[in-house]
Amino acid sequence: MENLNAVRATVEEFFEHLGRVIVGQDEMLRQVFGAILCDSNVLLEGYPGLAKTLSVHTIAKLLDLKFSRIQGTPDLMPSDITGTYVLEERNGKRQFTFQEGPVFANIVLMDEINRATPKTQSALLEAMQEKQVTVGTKTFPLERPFFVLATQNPIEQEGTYPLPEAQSDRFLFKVKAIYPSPEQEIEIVNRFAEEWTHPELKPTINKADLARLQRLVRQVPVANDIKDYIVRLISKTRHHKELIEFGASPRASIGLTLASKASALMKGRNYVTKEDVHEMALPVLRHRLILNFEAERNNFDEDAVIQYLLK
Amino acid sequence: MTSVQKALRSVKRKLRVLSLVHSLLLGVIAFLVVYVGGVFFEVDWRVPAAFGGIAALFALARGIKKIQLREAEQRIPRIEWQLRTAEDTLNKDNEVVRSLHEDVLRQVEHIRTSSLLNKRKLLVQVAVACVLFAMVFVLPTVGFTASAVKETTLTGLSTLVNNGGNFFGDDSKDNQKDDGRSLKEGDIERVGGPSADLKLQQSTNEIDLNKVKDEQRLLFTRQSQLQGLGVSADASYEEDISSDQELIERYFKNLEEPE
Repeated sequence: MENLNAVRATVEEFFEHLGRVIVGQDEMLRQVFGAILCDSNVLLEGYPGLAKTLSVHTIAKLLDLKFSRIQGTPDLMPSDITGTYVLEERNGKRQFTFQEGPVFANIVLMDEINRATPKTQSALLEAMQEKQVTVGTKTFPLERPFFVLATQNPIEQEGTYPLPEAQSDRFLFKVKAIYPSPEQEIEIVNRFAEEWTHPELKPTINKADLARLQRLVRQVPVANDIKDYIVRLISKTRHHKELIEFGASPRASIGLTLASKASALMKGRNYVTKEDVHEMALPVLRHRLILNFEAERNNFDEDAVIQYLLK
Repeated sequence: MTSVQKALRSVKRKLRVLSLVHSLLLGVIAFLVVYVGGVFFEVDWRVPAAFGGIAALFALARGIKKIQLREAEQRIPRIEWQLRTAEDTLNKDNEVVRSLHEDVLRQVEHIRTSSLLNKRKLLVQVAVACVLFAMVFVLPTVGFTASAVKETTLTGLSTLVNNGGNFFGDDSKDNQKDDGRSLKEGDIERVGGPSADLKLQQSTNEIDLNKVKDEQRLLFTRQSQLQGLGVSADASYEEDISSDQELIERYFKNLEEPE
């Protein structure tokens, strides 16, 4: 238990440092960090100007990880993400050498993934799933840890290529960035509209510690009753035809279990409770459900349906 | 057997002991219920004893079968989910599971049988048993014995049958009870003649408006304010007597007519 108390203290210190740069967005930051601990990826939906890029950049600094950013545009090619062979001349000889793309980082921020073409999206998704990149006939493994945060703009849907459900299922969480409260916004104005010195950020968790935390997350035990509860909850999404057209897949059961373990570990607990499951149900399930017309007619969104199922 | 397994088994053993206590109490209650009920039928004490025994055994069998660590967690919220998680991971060995097992061992050391008790359930069972026990001794004392009950029941039934349905008594003169609250004929003559301006006494409990059918018993003020008769002190005065007004007027007419 002393180890877990140390884990909790480390996590709290991490968020405290994060709070020196990012104002508010506590839930978003906790879920993003939880996904990193689960060695998985996040789909982040939010309006422009909600510190999405700043958050991920700051997290990368605090975790001492290499960060790269890709802006999704309709003319973005897969090779712009994965890298490509370029002709180089060395010592009088010309040869093709592989130039690594921005995906060769530890934390990759893909801004507006829904603006990139499906072909480009699939290149990134392969990297996410397989933790490797295939260019031509050669496969290049990606350095661990590898985390992708893809963002989507809920407005300006014209000229976009929405992620198909099969692809969005590969993201562990769909996190929503919300507007700050008035007090938080005043603090933001104070920091960024006036002379403010960016605090010097030193890494609080190094790569080895992060790898250990990721291992500990998988070790957190789950009672059979909790597993049964998770599976029944996911099963409900498949059988509740009054509101849901298509429910969640078994990937959701795995994701929810893993996310609950991460939630427990971040709180310094060595067991999972139902509260952990409830806390993680929304980000895990909201992008895995396809609602039917009845739900849309009654103005139910995914969150409302999930809350209803949890009751 | 690992120490965690032993610890979890000790918790289950404590739960079984408590289940036994509850089952025995349930058996006592069943015995008393059947005993008290059997007073009417003069049932032998062995019959309620058999009922009680069967009920206790049944409750015990069901209780033991249902014993789960969840019950212990419900009594002690601070260990919620820990015991069940430890039980489900007995065959696992990693850093986090080991730390959980250590925590559970430490917690179980401080769990006493009394802290696993369902106090509310025990209180209810003891209260019910006490009430039933008291009934067993008190009822005969107040004459509530089997033969007394039988006799009362039979008498009541025969009265019912003989009276032919006049359950609520007869309003005829013969059956009128003299309760001192109603004015009779002689009383009215004594108080005054037909022309007497009689005032209603405040303590007019003597006037029972429910007996209005017999007009010779009534005594009212002979003022025209009869319509607004406001008598009190008797709940029946609350009744609407406008329907009896005709009777009242007829009564006074009779009084005025020369004999």
